[in-house]
Amino acid sequence: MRHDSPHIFGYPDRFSARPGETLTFHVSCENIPAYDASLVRLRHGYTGASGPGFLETELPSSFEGTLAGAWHECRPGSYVEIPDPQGLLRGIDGFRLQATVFATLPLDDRSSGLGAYHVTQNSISRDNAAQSVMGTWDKTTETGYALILDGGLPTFVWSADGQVERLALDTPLLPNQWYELEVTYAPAGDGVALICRPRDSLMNRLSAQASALHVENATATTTDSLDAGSAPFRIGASSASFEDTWSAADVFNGKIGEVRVERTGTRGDAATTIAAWHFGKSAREDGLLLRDVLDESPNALHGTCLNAPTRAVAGASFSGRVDDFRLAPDEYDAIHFHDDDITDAGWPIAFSFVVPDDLPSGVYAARLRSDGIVQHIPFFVLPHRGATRPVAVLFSTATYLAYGNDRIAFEADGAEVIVGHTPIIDPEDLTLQDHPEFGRSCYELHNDGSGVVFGSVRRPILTMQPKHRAWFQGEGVWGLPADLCIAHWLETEGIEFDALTDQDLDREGAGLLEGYDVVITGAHPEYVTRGEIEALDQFTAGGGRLMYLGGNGFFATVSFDPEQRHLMELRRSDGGTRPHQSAYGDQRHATSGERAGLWRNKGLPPQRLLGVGFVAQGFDRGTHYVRLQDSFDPRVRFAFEGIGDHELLGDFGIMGGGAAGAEIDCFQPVLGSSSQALVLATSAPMSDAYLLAAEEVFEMLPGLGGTEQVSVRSDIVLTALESGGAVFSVGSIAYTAALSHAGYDNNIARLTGNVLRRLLLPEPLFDIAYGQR
Amino acid sequence: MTARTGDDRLAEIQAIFDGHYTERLRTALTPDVAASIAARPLGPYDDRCARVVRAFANAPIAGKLVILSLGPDGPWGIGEITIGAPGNIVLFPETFSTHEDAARQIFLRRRDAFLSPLSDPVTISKA
Repeated sequence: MRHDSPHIFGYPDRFSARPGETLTFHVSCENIPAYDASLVRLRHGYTGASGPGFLETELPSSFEGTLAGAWHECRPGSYVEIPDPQGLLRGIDGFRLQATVFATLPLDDRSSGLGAYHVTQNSISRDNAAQSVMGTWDKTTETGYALILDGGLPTFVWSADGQVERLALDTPLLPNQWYELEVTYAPAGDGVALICRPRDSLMNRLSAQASALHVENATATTTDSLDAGSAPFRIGASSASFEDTWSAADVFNGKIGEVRVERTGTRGDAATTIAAWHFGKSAREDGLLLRDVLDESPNALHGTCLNAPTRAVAGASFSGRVDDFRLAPDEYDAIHFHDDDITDAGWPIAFSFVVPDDLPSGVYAARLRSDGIVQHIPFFVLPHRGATRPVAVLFSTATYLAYGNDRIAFEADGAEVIVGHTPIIDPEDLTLQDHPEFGRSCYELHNDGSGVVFGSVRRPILTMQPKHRAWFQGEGVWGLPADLCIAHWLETEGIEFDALTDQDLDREGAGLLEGYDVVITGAHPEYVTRGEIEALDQFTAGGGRLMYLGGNGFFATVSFDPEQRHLMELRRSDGGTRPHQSAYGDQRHATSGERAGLWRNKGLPPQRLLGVGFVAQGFDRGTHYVRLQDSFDPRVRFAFEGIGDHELLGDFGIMGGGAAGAEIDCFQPVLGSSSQALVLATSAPMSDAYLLAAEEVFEMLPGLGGTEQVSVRSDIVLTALESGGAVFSVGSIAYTAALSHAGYDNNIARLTGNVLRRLLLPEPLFDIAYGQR
Repeated sequence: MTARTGDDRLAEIQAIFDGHYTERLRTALTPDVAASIAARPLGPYDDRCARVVRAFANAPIAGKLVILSLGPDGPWGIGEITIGAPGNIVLFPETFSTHEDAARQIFLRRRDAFLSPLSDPVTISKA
């Protein structure tokens, strides 16, 4: 959506690159004819006076200079496009279109009170009067043909002799019910027939008896000159011409499956198949359902998914007995489309950047400026292969994507009560509200009420601006701005680090960590892949040392698309803390085959790796830690050098005023915390805004707040491993936001620095006793 | 007669609940409780105050008041969530030197709106 005020927006093609690799940057300007681009190293984000302020260092680069600004459309909506170079779907005299559909928003009547936060209004306006199931309809010229829902009514629309013709049924589809739609078109006056049959399915919201649906059909006469138009054949959307491209129009909300196109020929001839797409089958050996869509007909009219519609979803034939799409592909012959899906804005390349050989690993941004308007496009530079520094920081890019472009404070009744204070809105959030086309976070619901399950680098993510403050954390830092607190603390400690991202660790595995003595996590590594957990486990088992400087870490499953590095999948399962929940049958990741959900429910509780695990969240205020008996153990004297026996640890900080807060973890032997771990400190009591996490509550109990539950706490834990490895965990998102207090002259910075310097020494921390409980 | 929908039936039940809920909230929002919340608008709260704060915090998002950060260390403004307005918010003219003051102002506005004889129970309790 274009506005009168000046803005610059942009995104990179991916988050990270090594020296010698090329990143591309994609920029759109609103009311700005030219902008200055430069490379900056991001050093610190938070702008308030209680920290060091916003810090960046400008560096020479190949792309610095003044560039012409141009506006580019960002058009949400997911669909499948069918390349058809021979025009098989265009030059057909008589044809039959068949599909099953499960419309989730056939009319403009989305339910309210949805999801964990009780979403009751939509900040993304829409026009879903027409929703295309399939066809070649060009909305601009009103040519072509398409099977659509028009005001919820199954309708066939086509152009003939320069006129728009349509044939519609009388009854709108019920939402969340499967139907079979079929159009038979015969030229030369033989007519067009449209039929809609209700399809009994386990996934239907209403039983067949309760819905009382019946078959409906209609017919009309035809002329002999259907104009198939010039737009591409699409499933889930029609087309509108824009500049030199075809934008998505009339995007379908819901599932479509079992799509076939047949040539019916002249009367009496047998029908021949032109295309028979199977959305549950994959051409890949691993069976994953990624971008490519398979046509099983001899014509091989394979398709491509645009803007990541959701695959691996239960189709009309879903039996409910198998929940893995790879084992029952026929039951997963469906794709869920959304009119607000946006995973690739598709803007042209504004400039490219070949990462120079001599550019040190770190956090960088392309800074774009014009007349007081500034936009950063953050990215990460990895080190040369095999040339590592002793310390690596694993930036929580999966979590950045999960929270990217969060709009909850504008849509959900429960936004305020869940965070325990009135939301504090950042000006960047208002800009985001004016740009609904930039899409939603994975905490939100699509227009049709289903949960958002994809995050993508390839769209402007305004919540990743380095100065951004999250509405839910009392103006605190979150995501990248929070992790810049770690980057700047290391800078003040004089410790250089290599920057790694979740995507890199997932793709390269434990090999990426070879050579590092210490790996430091971000403040909120909530979302990780199985490969990342295994890599870090292997790292510590090989003697590596891990500093988990966050909270709510290693909590839930994400996957990265193996063919599209910019795309992350995050579905929600049916247990534990979650903002929404995928339907049964839709809870497995198409891009990895992983079951969605919490790692603790999948045999990999974070307590096993970290010594602590998520237990509560609250956002009203933070608090301090108090030292426990283990902190006086002579074996860990190094950690508390310069810290008094009775000092309160972290009774300060730019996130809630205390180092313990936001989302917190505790020591839990029952879930895998080592009994030999030393519990160095625990938080002071939390307020009742901190509630015990849902996954800890097997049956509802009164009194789940911090003043009544001993588990609602953050623990600082140090675990020595037999390998010589070690794990230091702080169990609090707010912890790193306390590092900079008083110019880094404070006991949190001292404790963390003491531990880091000790972990960099090769000697084992201390022996652990064999078999001790 | 127009056919009733499931939403119509739920709305009827909601209205009954809202009546009870509002009545209880009127009882809970004593001058003492209001003064206590106004004195400490960021909490923490005792159980009596917490009930009132939760009720206001759970109000429908449409028209809800929020705080807007206007600078690195303030000032802070307040505004009303309004879909269709620029930024989907209508800002009020006054600003505050602390976000605690902004939060206090929001509570006082909510209290006044709730105690107004014209208040609609549905605007207070959760939809």
